[in-house]
Amino acid sequence: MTTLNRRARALIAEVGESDGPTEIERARLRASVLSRVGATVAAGSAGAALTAEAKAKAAVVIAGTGGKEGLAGAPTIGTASTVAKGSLAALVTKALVAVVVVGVGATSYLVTSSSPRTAATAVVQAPARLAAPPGTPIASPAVVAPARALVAPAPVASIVASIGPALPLISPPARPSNAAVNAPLNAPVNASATAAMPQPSRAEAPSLPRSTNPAPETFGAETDALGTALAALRDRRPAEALAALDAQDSLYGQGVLGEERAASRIDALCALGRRAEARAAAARFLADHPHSLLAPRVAAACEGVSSP
Amino acid sequence: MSSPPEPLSFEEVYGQNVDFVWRVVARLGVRPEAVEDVAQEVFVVVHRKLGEFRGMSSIRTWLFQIARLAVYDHRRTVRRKEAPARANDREGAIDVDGLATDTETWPDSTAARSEAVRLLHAILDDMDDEKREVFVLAELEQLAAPEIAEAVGIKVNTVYSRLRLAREAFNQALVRHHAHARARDRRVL
Repeated sequence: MTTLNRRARALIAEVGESDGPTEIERARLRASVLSRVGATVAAGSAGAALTAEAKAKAAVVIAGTGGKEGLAGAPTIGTASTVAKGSLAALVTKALVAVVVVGVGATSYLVTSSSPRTAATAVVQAPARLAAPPGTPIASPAVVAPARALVAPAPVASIVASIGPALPLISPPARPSNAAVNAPLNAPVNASATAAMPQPSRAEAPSLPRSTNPAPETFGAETDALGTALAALRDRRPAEALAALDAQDSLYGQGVLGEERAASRIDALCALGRRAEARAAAARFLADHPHSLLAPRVAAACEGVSSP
Repeated sequence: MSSPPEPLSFEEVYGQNVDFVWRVVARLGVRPEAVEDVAQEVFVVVHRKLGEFRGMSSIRTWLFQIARLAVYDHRRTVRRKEAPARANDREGAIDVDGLATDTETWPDSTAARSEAVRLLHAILDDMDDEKREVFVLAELEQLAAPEIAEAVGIKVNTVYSRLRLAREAFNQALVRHHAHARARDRRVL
């Protein structure tokens, strides 16, 4: 068997794992993923939530707007859109910004996205039923939790399709700019669309709940701001991180990343040696968000943190 | 291999494997500025599919399969957007031979390490995907041949034959690179 020569081994050793992510990249990626899957307002297991989502009555808005450059995660998040057959296609042909809302009951979760080039606006009402997974107690988090948009950009949809049994995803077009041609037509949300004509400015569906629905640029700014706080934490400036998190809470309220901020605040308190406060905040967090993906991290708060 | 009875949480999977996924995405040819986006796609899928992961394979094998599909999907998209002449390359691909780097005298600095990363990735870019995947998993991620076979969907024997070819290609690329570096140094002197 051919072996690597000395220089090859040296190069590989030199690189090691240095082409991995930085801490800020890890945190930013995590926040992006959690916001994509709706974990910031999530309750219940992913599987149960998925079932609920797939069956959720969906109000989907594909809204065109001038996107803001430099949004964290925008290139990927920005591809999300849901397209109905035929009737909507012409309207979304140029839509590169998608604001997707799935509203169920009194609550909703928003997946926002934006892109610099946008034009079209469309509103789609997609009839589907919200059904709890079989056997789910009526009061379980999966039912009372806000339903979440499960709108996959094309890569996700195709990846999911190719690695296992088809999931009842709401499928987006393969390419936003080619929605008419490439929209998967087997989407379970068989939308009978009512579409608004393209408008020069952002359209807002009047019936949409507004609770945690940031504008795309707000989401980007919120993500960037959290990145700043996480960077301060990483650089052992917990007081600065804490101040930044407070400011962000004032600015965004719960926002999209409220849970992320709450968890990061606990880390900051730990780093500042304010353990009693950290533990109290952790207890509140776990009571408020028992099923949060961040719960394990919060439960382990202050472990292994030495006093300053 | 026994199946873990406890289902894995997304947090666990993310925390323990985010670096692996990131590196694989980068090493399979996604340009640096797009790695985070592709990794995001991977973990969104992971989040959705985690309930179906039964521990029949190792988590890294499973993650690699998802990452690989995400990477190829991304590359197809990039390719469509790029001019046909550059279709087969990483955008802004680097000429391995011409990289101004002497691997034997790198100082221990971030800048130098990033030069090493550029060189490594450039050499990988010159490999075809079949060799590259096996090389990345075997030499860079230290997976065992049976795991690689499962991850890539080939026989173990094929893993070994591809690995042999990949090592040869890697060795030769480095030899060429150093020859060019020496020639350049002589011109400078």
